[in-house]
Amino acid sequence: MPTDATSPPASQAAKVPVTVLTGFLGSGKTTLLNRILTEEHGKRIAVIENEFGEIGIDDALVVDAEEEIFEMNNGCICCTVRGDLIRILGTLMRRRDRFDHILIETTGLADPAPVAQTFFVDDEIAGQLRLDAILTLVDARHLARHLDDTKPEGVENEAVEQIAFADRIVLNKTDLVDEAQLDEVIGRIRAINKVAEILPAQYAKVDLDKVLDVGAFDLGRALDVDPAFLTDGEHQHDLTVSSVGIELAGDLSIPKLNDWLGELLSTKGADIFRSKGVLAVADQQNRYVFQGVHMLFEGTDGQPWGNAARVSRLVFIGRHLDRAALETGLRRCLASAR
Amino acid sequence: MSRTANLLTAGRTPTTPVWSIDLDDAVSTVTAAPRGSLVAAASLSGRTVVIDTDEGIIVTEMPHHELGALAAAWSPDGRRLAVGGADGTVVIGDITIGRRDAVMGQGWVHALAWSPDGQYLAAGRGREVLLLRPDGTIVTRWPGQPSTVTALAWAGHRLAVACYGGIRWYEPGPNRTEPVRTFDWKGSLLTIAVAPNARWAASGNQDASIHLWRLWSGEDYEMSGYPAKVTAIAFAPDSQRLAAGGGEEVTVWNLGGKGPAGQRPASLRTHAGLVVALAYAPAPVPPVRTGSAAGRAGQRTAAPPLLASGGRDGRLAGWRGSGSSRRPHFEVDLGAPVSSVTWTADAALVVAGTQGGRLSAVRPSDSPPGTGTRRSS
Repeated sequence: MPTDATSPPASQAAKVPVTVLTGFLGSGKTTLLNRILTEEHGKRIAVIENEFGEIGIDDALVVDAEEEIFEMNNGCICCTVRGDLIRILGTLMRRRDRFDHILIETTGLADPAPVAQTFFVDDEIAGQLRLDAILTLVDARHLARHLDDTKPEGVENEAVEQIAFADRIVLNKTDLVDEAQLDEVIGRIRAINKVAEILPAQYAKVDLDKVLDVGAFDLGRALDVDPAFLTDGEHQHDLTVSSVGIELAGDLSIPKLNDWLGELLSTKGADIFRSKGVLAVADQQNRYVFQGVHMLFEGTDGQPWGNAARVSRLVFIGRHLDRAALETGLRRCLASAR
Repeated sequence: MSRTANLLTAGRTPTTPVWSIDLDDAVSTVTAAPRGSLVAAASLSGRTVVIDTDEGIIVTEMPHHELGALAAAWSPDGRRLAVGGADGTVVIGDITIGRRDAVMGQGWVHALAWSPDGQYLAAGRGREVLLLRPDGTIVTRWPGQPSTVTALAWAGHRLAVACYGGIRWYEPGPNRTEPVRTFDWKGSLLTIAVAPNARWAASGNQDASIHLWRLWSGEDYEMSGYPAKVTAIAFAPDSQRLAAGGGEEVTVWNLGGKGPAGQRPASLRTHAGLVVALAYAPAPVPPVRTGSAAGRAGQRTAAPPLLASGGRDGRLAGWRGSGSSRRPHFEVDLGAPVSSVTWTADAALVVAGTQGGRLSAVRPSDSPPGTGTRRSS
C-alpha cells in the first residue's frame, strides 16, 4: 500500500473510479461484467454498455452508449474524446444516487484512446471521476489471429491497440489452448505491452482485486515499473507496436526534461499510446511521476526516494518506437549532461 | 467553496427565496411558461412538476421518465408542456384539460423546441430529430445526424439542429428530408440559441468556445479561450447582447454595430464556480412605448434587461446591464450547484433548480444594493 505522504488530496480519493473494459467480441467481456456485478453485489455499480452489449442485471444501472468520437477543434488529432461518455457520465454524476464504481464496456473495434482522453480533457468528468484502469480481455485461442490480421494502410489493428493501451490483460479461455500455445500468446502480448499485468483465466474468472480499483492512472500510487521488462526479450520480430523501457541512473534536469518530453509528445504523440515514468529529478527529494495518453500528459511529485537508488525508469508503448533515440533523448536530460 | 456564506453576507442584504420546493433528485431543467405564472421543472429522478409560481405549489405532474427527465418546453401559448427523458419518450401534456400524448422510442431526449407559431414540436432523440404536431403525431423524422442532437432552436420557420460538426437547418414538411442550410464547424456543439430578432444563432462548445453566425449570410465569429466548455448562452430580449458562461465570469458580448469582431466582452464577476445557467428576463409584454412628444428625446426609458446567472458555486445572481456597475443586482446562495434558471413570464420571479433537487423562486429587489433607485415611469 502506498503511504499517504504523497497521496492525492481527499477530493481525489472521493472520485468515483471508472474501469474501461475492452476486448473483441467473444473474448468474454459480458461474462466478466456479469461476474463483477454478481460478486460486487454490495456496491452500486453503473455499467455503460456499447450498443451491442447484452447484459441484463437488475442490481446495476445499465446505460446504452453509442460511440461518438469528437475531435477537439484545436486541430490535435490525438485529442479525440467520446462525446457520448461526457454526456452520459455527466448526467449520472448529477444524480443524487451515487455510484461506487462505473464500468465502461467498449466494442471490440473501439480505439481506447478517446475513452481515456475523455477523462483528461473534460473538466466536469475529471472533477468527479477517475480513470482507474484499462482492462483488456483477450481470447487465448484467437488472439494470435487477430493480431496478425492485416489491415488496409492507415487502419489500426484494434487488437494490437487494445493490448498496447491495457493496464491489465485478462487472458481468457486458457482451457482452450495447450501450454505451448499459451506461452506463445503471452509472448505475443509481451512483445507489444511489457508493463500490463497478464491475468490468465477461464470463464473470465479473475480475482476482482486484480482488476478493480487498481489505480493504474493514479499518480499518487507508486508506479510499478518492473525492471524485468527493461531488456528486450527474445521476441524481436518486426513489430510496429512495441514497448520501450528505459532505466537511467543519475539526476535529471527539469527544464531539459520538459523540453524533451514536450517535444517528443507533440511530434510523436500520435504514435506513443501510453507513457509512464518515475524520475529522479535534481534537487528533489521525491520521485517525479508522470504518465501520458498520446499527447496528453500529467505529472506530479511521488514518494520520497529515501535511501533508494536514484534511478529513473520510463516506459513508452507505441508505434515505430526508436529505442536508441529515446535513450539518447533521456540521457541528454541528465543534469550533468552538457 | 465554504466561504460562500461569508461572502454573501458581507455588507449586503442577502436576497432570500420567496418559496422553495424540494424534488427528489437533481433538477435537469426548469422552464417558465411564456404566459401566465406556471413553471415546469424536470428532475433526474424522472419526475416533472408544474408549479404555480404565485403560490409556490405543485399544481400537476407529468408522467415519470425512467432514468430521468432531461428536457422540457412550453408551447408558445403556454397551454402545452412537452417533456423528454432518458427513456426515449416525449410526452406532450395539455395543461388546461389534462390530456397527455406520448411518443415512445429509444435514445435520450436531450432537446425539445416548439416552433414560434406553435404548430410543431421538434424533439432531439439520440441521433434523430422528430417533428411532431402538438397532439404527438409524427410529421417527419430527420435521422442519422452526425452525433446525438444536443440542442434545438427555431429561427422563424427554420429549425436549428445542433450536434457535432455544426448546425443543420431544417424546414418543416413531410417530404423535407435534407437540411436547407448547414453551418459547418468542426467541433462539438453543446447548446445553441437563436436571437429573438432571428438575426443571430450562437453555440456554446465543448472546446471552450462560442461560435456565432449571422442569419442568413452565414458570416461567423468564434470566441475562444474560455476556461471551460460553454454550456450556457443567452441572447438578451433586444438581441443586442449575448451572455455566456464557460468560466466563473459571465461574459457579455455586444452584438450592436458591426458585430463582435475585435471587441472584448464585458465580464460580470461574482461566482466562485463555473457559470452553468443563464437567462435574461423576458421583455415586458406589451412593449412600453414612451411618446417622443414627452421631450427627453434620445433618452432611453427602458431599463436594461435583467440577466440571471447560476453557478456551480450554488449562487444565483442577477445583473442589470453589463456596463460600469459590475456588481450583481441581487445574489442568493441556493446551497447546491445550480443547474437551470428561468424567469416567469412577467419577469417578476427568477426560478432556479439545483443539483440538490431544490427549486427556489427569488424576487429581484427593486433597488439594487449600493446604487440609487431609478425607475422608468
